[in-house]
Amino acid sequence: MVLALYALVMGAFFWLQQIREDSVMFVTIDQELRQQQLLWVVIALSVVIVIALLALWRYTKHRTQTEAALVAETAFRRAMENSMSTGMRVLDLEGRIAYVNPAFCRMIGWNEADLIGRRPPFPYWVPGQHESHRQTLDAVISGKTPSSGIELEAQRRDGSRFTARMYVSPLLAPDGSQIGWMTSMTDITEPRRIREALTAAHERFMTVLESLDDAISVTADIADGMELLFANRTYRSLFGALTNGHQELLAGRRGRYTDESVEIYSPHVERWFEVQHRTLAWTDGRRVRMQVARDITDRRRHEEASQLQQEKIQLTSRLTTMGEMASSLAHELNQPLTAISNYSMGAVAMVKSGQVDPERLLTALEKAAAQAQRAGKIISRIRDFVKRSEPQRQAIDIHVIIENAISLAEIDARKRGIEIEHEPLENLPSVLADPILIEQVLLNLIKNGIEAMDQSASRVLKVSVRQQQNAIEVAVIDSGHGVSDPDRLFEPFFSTKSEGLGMGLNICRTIIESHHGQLLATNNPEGGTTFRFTLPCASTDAQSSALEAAQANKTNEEFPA
Amino acid sequence: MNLPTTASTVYIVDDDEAVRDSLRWLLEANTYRVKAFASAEAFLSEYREDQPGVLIVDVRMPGMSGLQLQEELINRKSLMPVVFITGHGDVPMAVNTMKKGAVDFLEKPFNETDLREIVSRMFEQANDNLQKLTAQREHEAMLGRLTAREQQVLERIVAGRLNKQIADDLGISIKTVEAHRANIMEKLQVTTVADLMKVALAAEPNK
Repeated sequence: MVLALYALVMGAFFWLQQIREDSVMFVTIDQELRQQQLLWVVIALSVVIVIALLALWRYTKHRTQTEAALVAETAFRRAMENSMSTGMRVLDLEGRIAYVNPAFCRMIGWNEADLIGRRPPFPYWVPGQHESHRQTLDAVISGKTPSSGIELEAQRRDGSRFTARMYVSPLLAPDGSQIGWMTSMTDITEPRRIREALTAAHERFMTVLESLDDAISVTADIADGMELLFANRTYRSLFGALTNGHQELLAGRRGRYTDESVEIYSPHVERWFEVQHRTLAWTDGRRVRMQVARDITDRRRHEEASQLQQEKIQLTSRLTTMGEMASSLAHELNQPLTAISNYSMGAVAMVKSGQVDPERLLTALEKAAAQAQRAGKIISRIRDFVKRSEPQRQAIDIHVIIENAISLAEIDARKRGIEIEHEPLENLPSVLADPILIEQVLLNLIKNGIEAMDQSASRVLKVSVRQQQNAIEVAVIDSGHGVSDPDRLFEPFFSTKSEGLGMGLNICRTIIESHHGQLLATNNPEGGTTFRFTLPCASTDAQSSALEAAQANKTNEEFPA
Repeated sequence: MNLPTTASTVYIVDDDEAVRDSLRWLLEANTYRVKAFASAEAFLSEYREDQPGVLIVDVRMPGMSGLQLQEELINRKSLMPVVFITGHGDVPMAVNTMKKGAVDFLEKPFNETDLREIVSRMFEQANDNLQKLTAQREHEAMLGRLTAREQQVLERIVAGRLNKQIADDLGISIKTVEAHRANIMEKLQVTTVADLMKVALAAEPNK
């Protein structure tokens, strides 16, 4: 347009020149007309020049604006490239580095100048791993890299290494033809370290959980039972990967979510556990129960053993006291008895000799009678003693007493190679008795039985229980030598044993009778002796003791012997 | 010093009055002479060696026990047989006392037959002891009558030396030795060398 305007102005100029030549030659006729024509030409030319100038100004302004926009755009892109943390690299189709961004340079520690135009091997390849790097590069160039990217290790200029994740995409020219490969690379060393640390932590945690001796299980209640969400090794080895064990140790707490700790016996694995229940929010937000069960069987066994030991010691000392008392009573009674015997024998001797001195004889007999009185006083002192130690009766399962007595007698029995057999009966009512006293009676009867069986072929002593209306009968059946006159056994100072005092069975009978029971002895038809005693059932005595009995039974169920 | 020819007294030591008195009654009815004491101390205060007899003593007594009394009697070289009264036999104690010379045990209450048997056995032993003691005393008395030279000669005879050796030992003639020998035989009232030896040896333990 500017050229067109110029041509127009030049045309107008040449035309004007012509006119002037014409006017020199022909000034006359057309002078006026020519002058007017010239004026119009000048005006037209001026207008044209103004328009041209305006157009030029507008063009310049537009160009300046476009240039500024371009500069801004370039700067923006450059800034983007520079500030990007992802390393960008362009490989041409032959595998030469065509472009790297500053992040890439920073990542590997080499300058752009060192890299552009380089062919493999690239300086950031890890020495000794060139082959794998080359394979990766081949994969990149042949476009076989997965869209999820590939993980590779690279070495920085300073020799340190890092792990990177690389994504590859084809680089396309504006006309759609591929001119290279665009790769973006991220340093994943830190995320990977964190991930590995997390994995290791998890593994450590699992190792600890797995190697714990406590059985740990987590369950959630579902519509048709329970779901086992977690179980450690100890739990699995005890109960398998099933909810049975958890359910058993829950002991009726299903549906309840409480934090409590209880001691529970598992009949399934025959062990005692201290079980802690905790309510947790599971990873999926559900409310679940965690159960930590510690095997306390050995601890309990130890506790029970030491308790038994303690009881034994107490009983031994009590028996020692009883023995001492019996021994001193025996000595005391022996004195008047000896005197009476002496006076009588002396009197007999005097009468036999025929030289009777009535006065002396009378004195001796009076003295004998006085000694009999003295013996009587000793006896009533024993009675007082027995009265003072009235039995402490309570409702108790007879089996508890029997088991205690057997455990005490067993040491002696084992030494003599005798087995004590006892089959408990279920659903027996409790008896009303002083457990310590009855235990002593039973212990006495069992020990007698064991001693009687010293020489016999059979090595089994039986303790049996049965119910008789409102009483429980306990029988101690030995297969020993038997006794010639069972009724005499209970007489005081009667003993079949060479070292016996003859007080044991008498005291036993007194104890049983003070319990409103009976103690009897009979010889077995097949040899040996049976001692039976009865004790009244607790329920027949009072309603309150029936309650006690129920409670006692409950306690026994919780702690099977 | 004259010793009684037989022992006849039963000494009873028991702290229990009834037992003591009744035992005295029983033994007296069996014609024994009885002396009873309530304690070992009371018995010892009256005890003299020239009172032969047998001792029945309770093992259990306040103060000096029966066993301690036995010890004391052994220390005093008493020959009195001892029997113990016990409630019920205690084996270690029994063994111990038997070793020290106790004849037996009497268990309360006493069986009359056992008692009589034991007491009579004790008297036998007491009399036996008494006879031995009497014989020993006599021998001692006879030996006491020998002169110093005669005793020297006797020692050598007992040691089995011949007259000639004795004469050499003592620096005297054989004839003198023979004369001493004859005197010794006469003083000890023996006729053979064998009897002479018996008398000399029987007296020996008390030397």
